[in-house]
This record gives sequence, structure tokens and C-alpha cells, in this order.
Amino acid sequence: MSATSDSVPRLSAEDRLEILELLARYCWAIDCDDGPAWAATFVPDGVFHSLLLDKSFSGYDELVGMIETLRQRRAEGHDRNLIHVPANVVLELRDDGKVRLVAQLLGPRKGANDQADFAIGWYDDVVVRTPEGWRFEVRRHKHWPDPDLAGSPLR
Amino acid sequence: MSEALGDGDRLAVQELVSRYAWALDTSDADLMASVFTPDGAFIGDLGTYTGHAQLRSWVESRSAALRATQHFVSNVMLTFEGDVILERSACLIIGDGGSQSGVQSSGFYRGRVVRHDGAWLFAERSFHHW
Repeated sequence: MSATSDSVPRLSAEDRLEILELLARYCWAIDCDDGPAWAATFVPDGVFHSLLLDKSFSGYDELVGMIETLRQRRAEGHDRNLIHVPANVVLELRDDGKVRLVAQLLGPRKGANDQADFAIGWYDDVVVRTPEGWRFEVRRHKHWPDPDLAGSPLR
Repeated sequence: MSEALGDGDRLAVQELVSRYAWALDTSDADLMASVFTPDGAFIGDLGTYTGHAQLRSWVESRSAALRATQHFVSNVMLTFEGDVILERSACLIIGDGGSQSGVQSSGFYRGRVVRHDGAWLFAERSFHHW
């Protein structure tokens, strides 16, 4: 974090860039079916709330297992999510020093018949600083449009 | 002169671009007004909206169908000229078509970003189709 002239703590440019790269590493890992790399973007007891699978995955083993679940689903003929394209990322520093990450998500996908379309959604996450760098504490993948949103989720 | 723009300023303007998209995609009139200077203007397909009152009215009047879209902005280029940042960014507009969503439109933004009360805000922004 960095101090400002009005003593309101703010995220430094370095922290922002590191968190943006965490997000990029997350996307590369899940899009390459790399369970360990994907789980490593979370804290050891991190939680991912999956909209697609309609369940939550907690901790390293369950997170790695989720990637295998997605691979099995594709083998069974379910849609393949091609890439995760986050956009419009906003980072908000909370009073407890954690960061709220909000982003929109574009997900090109292909069905078994090779028909391509887009899944869209958004993320509402908590990112925390660890000795190893910034990591996801919680990631929530949500619907778009989101019936629970009245206006934007930003302050 | 772009090398005179610090990392913090670049990131702040990138986030300004994101906040604009969130404001539009969630029809948040307050958020939309907050990313423009008090006399800031947006120029688009449906007209020109100048000042916070007109910007709020524009956002509030968007149809339900438009509210189900997302404006995916990328390839943001920032050029610092004097005390103004010139923004150019690409935009892909994805619509919610129920279980399948497609590309509704694509284009780019031209923006003029200025310092106002310590924050970088749009003085003007326009959308152009490819």
C-alpha cells in the first residue's frame, strides 16, 4: 500500500500490477487445464464458487480436483470454455487491508457440435497479501445480468 | 510525452475506463456521472450528453435489452499531451441473448481525460463503430 497526502491508504501501482498479473495467471492456468497452477493462485484454504458446476471448492485438493472435473465434463460432451477473458477490472482496498476485485468476464465456448458462442458473467472476489504475493482468498463467478445487482457493485 | 505519465496515473485511467463500462452495463447513473467532469460529455450513436444531469438521464433511459450487455474494453492506449491524457481503446459489446450471447457491436472510444479535484476524469468521450 502507499500513503497519500490525506493519509487515506491506497493500493500502490506495484500492488495493482501484481494483482492484475495474478488474474492473468489464473486465466492461463484454468484455460490450460493446469490444476496445480490454478490452485496456486489461491491461498491454501481459498474458495472458488463455481457458477457452472453450482458448487464451491475449498482448499488446494478440491481446487485441483475441479479442473479435473471440468476436463471430464468435456470428455462427456459438455461445452468447452475456450478462454477466460476478464475485463473492466476494478480493485478496491478494504479497511481490513484486503482487496475487493470486481471484473466482467467474457467466455468464448464451443459446444459438441463445434458451435461457438459466448458465456458472460462477472467476478466478485477477495484478494489478500501473503508472503508469496497476492492470492485469491475467495472467487465468486456470478451471472450476467445479475438479478441481485441494483446498479453497479462499485463504491 | 507519454513517458511523463507515471504508473499510478496510467493505472488510475485504466480503472476510470473500467468504471465507465460498469456504469453503462449496470445502468448506474451515479457511477457514470462520477467518471466525468461536471461539464464532461459523451458522444454516441444516440446523441451527445453534456454535464452530469444529461449523463444521468442517458444512463437511466437505457432500455432493458441494452442493460443485458457488457462492454468489453481492451487495448487501451494512453498518450499524455500537456495536462491532458488522450485515451483510445477498443470495445466489444456482447449482448445477453438468453442461453447464447453474441457480439452485438464493436468499435473504439476516443477520450480526453483531465485532472479534476485530484482525480483523472473524462472531459469528453466518444464511441465510434469499426
